[in-house]
Amino acid sequence: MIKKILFTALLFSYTLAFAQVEEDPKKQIRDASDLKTGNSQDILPSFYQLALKDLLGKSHNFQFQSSLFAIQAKSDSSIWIDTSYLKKIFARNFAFGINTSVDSNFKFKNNTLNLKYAIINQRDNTVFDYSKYMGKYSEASVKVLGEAIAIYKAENKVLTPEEYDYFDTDKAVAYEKLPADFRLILEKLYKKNDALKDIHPREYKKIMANKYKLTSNMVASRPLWTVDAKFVSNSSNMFSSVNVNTEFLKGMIKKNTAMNIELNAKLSYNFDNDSSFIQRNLNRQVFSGELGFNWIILKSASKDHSLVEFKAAAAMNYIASGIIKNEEPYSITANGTLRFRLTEDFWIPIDIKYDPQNGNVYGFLNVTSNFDWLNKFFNKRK
Amino acid sequence: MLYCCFNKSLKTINMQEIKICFEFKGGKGYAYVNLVPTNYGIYKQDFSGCHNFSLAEGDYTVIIDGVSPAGGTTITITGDNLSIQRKINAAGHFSKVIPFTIKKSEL
Repeated sequence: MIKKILFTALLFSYTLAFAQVEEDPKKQIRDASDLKTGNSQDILPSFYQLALKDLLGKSHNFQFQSSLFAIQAKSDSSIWIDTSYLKKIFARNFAFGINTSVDSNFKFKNNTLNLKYAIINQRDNTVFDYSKYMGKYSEASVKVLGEAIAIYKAENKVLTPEEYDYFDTDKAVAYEKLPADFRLILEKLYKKNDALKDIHPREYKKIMANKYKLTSNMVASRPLWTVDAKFVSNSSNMFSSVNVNTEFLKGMIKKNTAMNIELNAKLSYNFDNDSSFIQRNLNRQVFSGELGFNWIILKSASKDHSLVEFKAAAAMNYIASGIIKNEEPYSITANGTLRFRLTEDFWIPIDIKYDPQNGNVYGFLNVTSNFDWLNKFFNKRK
Repeated sequence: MLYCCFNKSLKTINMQEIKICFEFKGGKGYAYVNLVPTNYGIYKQDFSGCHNFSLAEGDYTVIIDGVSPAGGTTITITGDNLSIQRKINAAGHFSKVIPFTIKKSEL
């Protein structure tokens, strides 16, 4: 029964993701969330995430993750308006996931339901108040421009609508298109203003765009702390494992441009089935800890999102109870994940695991899509 | 009494109610607004909403500078015979200068 419910939920989730009619707000928020690293999107998805894991191994995993907000926005588009959006704290920070695992013959192994909440999510730049960093320039700019227009008008001159277009960030009009006498007034007023005295009016839009980019990068490296619980049910419709996790992520370099390093720490407690008992149980308990660093090796110069990342981590497992005969209670592994961004939506994460006790190296090839790429494909065909 | 009625007639006959509205979508945005030439001063629009102005005949300029959230920003300026809309579709810094005229015949 549990298997059926989870499978139906998985199917429903896929349908939701693919049947989405893409709206502008969502597309734009995708642009903003593109700044997040692949590693942080794996920890907390902004919208949807589909993943195929361990493609070449003995078992394969199909994963779907979604934020609660993405689901709510399906039925109520008014929640995109800031006054509503900012209140949806729980929905924006709560994510659920469904994972189906099959063996190499594509026979069902288990289903996993994952519930996650971000206790601290300071790297969400959609709710960040940029006015704290950029407001004084904006205020000074409208003040100075108002004064310049008033002075110009006092001389019985007015700018034409085409000349006003210079100040529009959506229009590429050369500064020299402004009348020379107006430019002179503007430049004098800029020099007198405390916030703008070091800026030439010609450079204002470019400097503000750069301040926005730097501030966004700073926000994207702030702390993220999540807690989650995973419930695994096997082919006999029984809960075979319960897993409780907490994960922390924080960028190490505040004013990053080309690269950054993120601290990534994770603690887990697993309640697994102890096979030495006939009856179903969760007696085998394993504590795991992982500490690593995610290195953002390469960023796109134009879009400023990461293209190549490498996470290196040391992991420790301790079997607190339910130890199997000849099994070591402690084990240490070295883990690595190399992520390549193929397109806007697709990541190829390759997990590498090294077991120093046995000298074995394991590799897992995965494919992750953070967004609804199929929907875009369908929309184009309409 | 006379003072009251004189003022009232000024408002209804010689002034027009103008509304400047902002709608920020998909997150937090802000905008600083300066409407010249008036004595309203500069105000900050922190959330979606409107500001009302009583304006006499003349040429006006709305100067706006701020940051649009990820879902974009829509600015509308409306009056009895006035309807101007500007949209900012991308997240990031934006500035707009919107001139408009209130004619005597519109009052």
